[in-house]
Amino acid sequence: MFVKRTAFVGDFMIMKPIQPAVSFENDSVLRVENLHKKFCRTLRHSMYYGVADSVRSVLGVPYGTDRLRNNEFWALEDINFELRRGEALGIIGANGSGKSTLLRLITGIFPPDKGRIAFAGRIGALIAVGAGFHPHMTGRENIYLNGTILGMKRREIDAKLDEIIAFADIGDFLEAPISTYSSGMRVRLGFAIAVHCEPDILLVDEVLSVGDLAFRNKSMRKMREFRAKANALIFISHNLDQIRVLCDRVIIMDHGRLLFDGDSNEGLIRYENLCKDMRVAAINRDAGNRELFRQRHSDGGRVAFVDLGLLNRQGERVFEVGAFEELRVFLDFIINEESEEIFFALAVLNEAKNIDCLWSKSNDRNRHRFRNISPGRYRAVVTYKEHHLGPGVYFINYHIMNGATGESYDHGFTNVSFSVKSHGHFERGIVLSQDSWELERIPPGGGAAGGS
Amino acid sequence: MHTGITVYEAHQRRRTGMLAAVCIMAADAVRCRELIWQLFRRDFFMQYKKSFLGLGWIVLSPLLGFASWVFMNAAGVLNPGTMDFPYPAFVIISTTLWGFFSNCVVAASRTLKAGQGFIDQVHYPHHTMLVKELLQAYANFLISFVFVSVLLLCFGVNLHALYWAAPVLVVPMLVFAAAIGLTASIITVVAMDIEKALGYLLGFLMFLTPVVYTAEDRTGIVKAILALNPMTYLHGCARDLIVFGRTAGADVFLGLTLSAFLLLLLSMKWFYVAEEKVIEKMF
Repeated sequence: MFVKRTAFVGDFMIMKPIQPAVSFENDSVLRVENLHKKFCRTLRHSMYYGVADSVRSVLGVPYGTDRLRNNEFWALEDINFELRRGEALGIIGANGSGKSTLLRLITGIFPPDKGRIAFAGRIGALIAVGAGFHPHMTGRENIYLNGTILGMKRREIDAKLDEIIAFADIGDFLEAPISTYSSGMRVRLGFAIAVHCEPDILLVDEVLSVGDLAFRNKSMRKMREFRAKANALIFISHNLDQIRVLCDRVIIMDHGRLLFDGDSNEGLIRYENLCKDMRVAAINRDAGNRELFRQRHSDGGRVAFVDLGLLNRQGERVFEVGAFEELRVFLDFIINEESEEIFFALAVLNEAKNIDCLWSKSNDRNRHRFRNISPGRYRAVVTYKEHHLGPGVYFINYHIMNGATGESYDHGFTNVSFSVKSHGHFERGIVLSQDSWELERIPPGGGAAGGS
Repeated sequence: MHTGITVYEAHQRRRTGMLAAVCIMAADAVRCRELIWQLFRRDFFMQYKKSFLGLGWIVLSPLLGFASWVFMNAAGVLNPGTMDFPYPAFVIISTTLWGFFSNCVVAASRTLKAGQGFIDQVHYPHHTMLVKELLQAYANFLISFVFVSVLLLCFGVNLHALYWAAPVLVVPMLVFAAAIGLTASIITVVAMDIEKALGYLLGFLMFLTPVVYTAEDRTGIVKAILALNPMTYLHGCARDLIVFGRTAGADVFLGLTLSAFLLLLLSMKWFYVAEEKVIEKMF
């Protein structure tokens, strides 16, 4: 079936060529199907492809944009998702994962190289605030300029002018050139204009962190109001707390691919774990090029360190452990001379390596005394039945000492790392603990009483 | 089920025919008139905001050019040919017209760059910036024209009635400049050389066009080049009509005007289709 139709982008109506009909069932307002976008790594190739492609496209010579040419890469690859009316979708991912590129494709700033984007209604993007502001124009003039750029009609701006001015809270500066504004005022004005465009689908890219605390809170309230009007929202942010509060659903992007699409709580935990995995992978990758020790003090060859790391219950080496699970750390070493007594100290440090999160000594309170150790290779294992380390990346230091004389055999500050993964909760901090909360009302002039 | 569904697909614009593309672009320009006006206002009125002379620069630029040509003529360096019109008046009108053409080419070549600062943040029909850029060049021309007219009247120069039709007679030049500039605007995004080359080429083209001299007394290769150069007619005929109230090559002028319009339609189609291939290369 073919239809001829018109489409509204922002407030600019664009006639579209005849295409296969797209219809939205249910409450869908946006559908992204098999979306691909490629970019070029080198400037020279980019120039060559740009000229060649534009000439070919005008001459009607077919050329494959669905395959990669020399020095090209997929910035987005096979992205599929749908957005429903009233839904708030968070997009999270590391820098360079393709979030902003995706937003620019949905907005229509970039065309796709393969696949399709279809949406109903008016779309608005809050990618950066104050687009097109002129420093020598007054705040009022810039409201009209920026509002028009964002797709508002003059009468629409007239109607919302007071609201915008009140939201921006720029006071007497309205008639002053914005070059006289502080950076905070400029950002507030830009944001105030953008949020009053009220499109059917609003795309927000990391701009809710602008302004002071009061303005950020006001912006968050505005976002909630926007959602309450049953409009759809796509929200990109590195601030996971904002995503958690605003979004029902998240998608996780990684290297241009969609890794996860689902419930926001589950998605955020997955993302935190993914970030940790990436950090551990990066740390381990660096470890290959880095010294095993940041610092080591060894007393000749009486005791020689061999290896250090984590074990699972089956005794296999692992690099991650779940929150509140059993944590087993091993230390392999070789004794070259018989030792009367030996003991170990072990420290688990945070990622910045400046806090001992766990510290234990084998002979503490004379619980374990390892005596008369003959030469040979040994493995010491310390087990924490239920560790309370918070999700994150950790490093291990060790110390092997003579229990009888107090001599230090080997003391190593290592780059050996592991990660703690979250189990179904959104957790922060170094230490985890089971918690419960109560709320009590304090009557005026009295102590706490009743209610929870 | 919704109405008003927008679809973005690969090669969407390639399937659009030339007339459809031109209609879409024209319709967008009408619908986006508020955007065009706001940006025109921003760039036109603010361009000289931080300058003591302000808009005076629009009249000062041709005046300085005019002074140098008059000086060269007085010094005998220049051979402008024979004419029954005061040379200073001839040269000021002629250079003002050439300046308009030159400004229009540069303005049209800035069609994509005009949105720099928000082109990567907001979706808008980029081709509408052609109208805004040309409006700006045309407004600058009108200011120069008014100033030149006052100057000529003050010096008692006898102006032909057709002189006052200059704002209409320059339209073919504007159309030709828009076609060249619009084509260049795509290439300048991927290869900045074109932007630089355009400046030099316009300077060179001015000497290949009878701007500060007349074409009548030329012979040999110069005559052949002048005959092949479309600007000889688009600029020369317009100027002759404005200055003398008559022109020798009216038929060629009309033919070239029609060709300029066709060229503009082709360049509009080129821009419409090729733009989506280069837009991401702007960032």
